[in-house]
Amino acid sequence: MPLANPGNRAEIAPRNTALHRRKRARNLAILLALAALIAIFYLVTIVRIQSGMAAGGVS
Amino acid sequence: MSDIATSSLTAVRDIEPGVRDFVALLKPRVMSLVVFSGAVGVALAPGDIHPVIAMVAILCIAVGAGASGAINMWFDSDIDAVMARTQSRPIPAGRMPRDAALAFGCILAAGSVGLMAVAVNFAAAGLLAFTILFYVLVYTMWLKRLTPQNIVIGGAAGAFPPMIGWAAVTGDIGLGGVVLFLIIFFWTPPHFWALALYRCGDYAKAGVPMLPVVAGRDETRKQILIYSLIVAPLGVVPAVMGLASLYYGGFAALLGLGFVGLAARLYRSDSDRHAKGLFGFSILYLFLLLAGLLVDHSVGIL
Repeated sequence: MPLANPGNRAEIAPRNTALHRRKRARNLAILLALAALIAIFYLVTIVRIQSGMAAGGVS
Repeated sequence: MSDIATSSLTAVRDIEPGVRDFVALLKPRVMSLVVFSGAVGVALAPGDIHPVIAMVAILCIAVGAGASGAINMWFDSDIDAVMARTQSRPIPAGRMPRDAALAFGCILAAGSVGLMAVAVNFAAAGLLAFTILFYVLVYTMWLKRLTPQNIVIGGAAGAFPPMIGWAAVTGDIGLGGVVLFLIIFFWTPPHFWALALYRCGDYAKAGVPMLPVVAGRDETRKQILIYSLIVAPLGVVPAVMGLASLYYGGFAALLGLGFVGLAARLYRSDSDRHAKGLFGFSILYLFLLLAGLLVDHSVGIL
């Protein structure tokens, strides 16, 4: 049985590449969103601590 | 399993939505106006808010609006496929599975409300949750396909963002927030009815009972004029109640005259060109009115 038809492989390859590119972009977007969320929680915590210290008169 | 069922399952599995498709689900153009009106609510509210918290509040409003848009596209994918204006959206275009849109919308909705509660306050989070639920349950699932008054009542969802912004600063719903709500609430029907007038065929084909489809063009043009006569003076109210200066009041009055003028022109002579003109101006009207409030407030601070 022949392993693969080179013609078929040529047809499949670009489609898979596009598919993988789309998946990679999506994963990157999720990574960025998670990083942004972490940054937001970090900043909010800092702000809360600072305002708490200011309200409590801690210098 | 039949060949047809197998191939359709394979087709669903083969759909790989890209980042752009997820962004399209958020209705970025609607979101931009929501963000702007929410920011005006934050800016005008009395009291201090840390800039980081203010930014988080506006982000939550934006994400909440996007979540509503995604869930709306999930539910309305059948009518979106029929209407020319919405055929290229990710679900009807076959670039996004419906379930993915629903999951995306639900995650964003829960995330935005949760973040608002943790980072800002519970009043703003409660209002944001109410707004999302109102848009999805009351407007999208109930009123939109049921009554020509869909946009009048359902449009309230789009009017809540400045109130949420206000609540983010003060922790409650102030009179200023209510006035901003009323301006957008009464602006929404003439804005959408002007669009519906020149997209009437689309809505009729999809079975959406917009006012021009059910009550006819004459009644719609009359209603547009009535609502524009309400929204024009409402735009001046922030100046009357001391929320903005008299300069803003004059500016808002001029804009209101323009709005009423275009509505009157459409009422006198029915044409798609006049409807498009009013639709375009209505967007500009709200943008300039809110920008006027922001500028006026900023100048007042300086």
